[in-house]
Amino acid sequence: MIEAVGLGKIYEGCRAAALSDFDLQCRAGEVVGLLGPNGAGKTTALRILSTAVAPTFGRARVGGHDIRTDARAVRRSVGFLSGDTGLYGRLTAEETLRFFARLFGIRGHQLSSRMAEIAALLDLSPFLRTRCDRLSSGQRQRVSIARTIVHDPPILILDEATAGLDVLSSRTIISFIKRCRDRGRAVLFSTHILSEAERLCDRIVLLHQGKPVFGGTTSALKTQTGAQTLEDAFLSLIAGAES
Amino acid sequence: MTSRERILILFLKEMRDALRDRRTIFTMLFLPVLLYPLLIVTVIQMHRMHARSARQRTLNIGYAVRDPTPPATAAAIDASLIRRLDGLPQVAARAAPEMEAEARGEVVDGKLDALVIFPRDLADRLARLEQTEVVVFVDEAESRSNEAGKLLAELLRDVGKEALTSRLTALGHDAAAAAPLLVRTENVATPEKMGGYLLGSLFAYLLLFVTMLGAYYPAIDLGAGERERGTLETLVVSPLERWEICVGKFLAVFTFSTATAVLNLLSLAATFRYGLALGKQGADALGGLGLRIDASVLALIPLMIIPYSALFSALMLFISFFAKTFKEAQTYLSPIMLLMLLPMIAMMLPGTRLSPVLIPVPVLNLCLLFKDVLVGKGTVLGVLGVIGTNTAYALLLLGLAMRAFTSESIGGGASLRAALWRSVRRLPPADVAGGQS
Repeated sequence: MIEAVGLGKIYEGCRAAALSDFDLQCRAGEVVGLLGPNGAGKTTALRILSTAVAPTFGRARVGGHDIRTDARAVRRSVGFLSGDTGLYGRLTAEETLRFFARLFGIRGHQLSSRMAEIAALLDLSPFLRTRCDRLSSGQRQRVSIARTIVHDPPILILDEATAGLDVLSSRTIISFIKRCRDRGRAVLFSTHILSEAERLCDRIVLLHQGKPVFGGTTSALKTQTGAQTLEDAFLSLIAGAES
Repeated sequence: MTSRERILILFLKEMRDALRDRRTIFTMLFLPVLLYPLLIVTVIQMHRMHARSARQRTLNIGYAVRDPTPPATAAAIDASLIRRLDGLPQVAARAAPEMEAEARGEVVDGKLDALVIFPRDLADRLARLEQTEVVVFVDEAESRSNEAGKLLAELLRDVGKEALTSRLTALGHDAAAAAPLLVRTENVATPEKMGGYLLGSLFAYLLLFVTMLGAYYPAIDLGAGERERGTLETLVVSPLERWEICVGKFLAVFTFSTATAVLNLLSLAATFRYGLALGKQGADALGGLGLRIDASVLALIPLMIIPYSALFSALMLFISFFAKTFKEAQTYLSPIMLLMLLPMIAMMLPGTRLSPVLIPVPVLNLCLLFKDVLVGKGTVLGVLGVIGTNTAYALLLLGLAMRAFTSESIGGGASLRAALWRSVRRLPPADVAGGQS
């Protein structure tokens, strides 16, 4: 579903690469976590794969489409959600979802049934006709998720989607990721919360200073570092990379 | 799904979103609709206040004789002259202190609004057919003093004329011989032309300013505002190509700007049609009764406004895309509003006319064209030149905005300078996914 080889990015006006030599594979029904300290290149990697920014070098295919030559097809295959993604405050939840659904070519009866399906899935009905700026943060999060999956994408890319959320809102996202995996979706997500990664991820990729320093399962990481917990393993690997 | 359909979906969303923004509604609806009626009411009120204060005010004018040795009294001056001075409307005439310096001091101190110094033997000199000097002291920094001085000058001019007439009559000549030319000025301007004159100067400028204002908030909101709220990213990862996002947003801003202009015109037309019914003072305040604008000219105005509206919509959106926050966009765009004053000043300079040299100067060209068209002096070359030039600028700016938008990183935010440079040099996009269709 997602296949990246040697992806790298140097932003305008910067000398150092924000990301380099990034390889990744994420299959259907698999959850892959991107871990790393701030500035490690997680967001850059996810934004390249969702076509929000272009890579400076390397190549990637998402949902079978090349991110450079078939960006629109990539975007149709991907649902992208980040922690600081906003909603149109002056539109209702329903208007927001209808707008994005129409952009993905969903209309008529298909649109109505999709709206009903998403509303039931995320329990949106009580506030579907409320303006987004009047929703609670949890409700907003659910609308954001609904926006992400309105076109029923086979791939989900989530960038720090639980950052800054309370326990209940975070749990909504975690349940959502699990449901997606169960339904055969490929999920690539970044997080700072190692317990989340340990609970959810089939595999993790650890980034440090723009480069991947580990790729594999959490147990493999613990074995490699000899640490008891993922946090210790993470710190050990980062310390090793820095030395 | 075609690009057109996607752009339409985005456009409709932007319209719905912006129409729920109170700031946009205020600048688009309330300001243009209320501007002219408010302006008329204000002008009429000021007119009334001015007239009322003029009626209530009394100007103090002092008189004295030069070289009062022995001291001259009022009796030394022609009594009829004093009577005439005292008889002027809203004038209280009194004898000033005998010493000239002291009398002047009263004007300086504001005790007198004006002072007139007659020669000691004014009546004799006039009788002897001699030329004589009368001095009037005023304080030109005071409006009351200027007004009193003007009244005195008129009175003395009349006295002089009467003296001349009596001299000529005494010499057996016809008094009319002293004034072989009688000048009478008549206004040949039609009501349409008078309307055009007024519209072309003040109202055209207001129309252009308000049209620009109509683009101001939507441009900031749909560019920097979306970025600040984190919603721009949701569009970037949607099936919309970046140029489609740019065009959809431009169309929304352009629609608001044009709608503002149209509402402005309707308000203007209604004010002229019904506002003058407020009475003679209202009509006087506007420069004359029966003010009319030709219907064909009114029809031409939207054609002239549309490219201008497109130009400013593209410019404001272009700048708004680079700002990271609403406030930052306001900081960038506010100087543009101030720059609008320059064409206004240039337009008012004597002799400034729409010429082939000025046709490419944005804003000024339209101001001057308005002036020409509204007074019936517009030429086909002028109209086509200005519309064509402004359309070209609008397309150029839209192109730059599209290039800049496709070359920036929504996440990182490219600098204005870098993106401008990239746009102008036509470099390939650096921070956008390839495969733009």
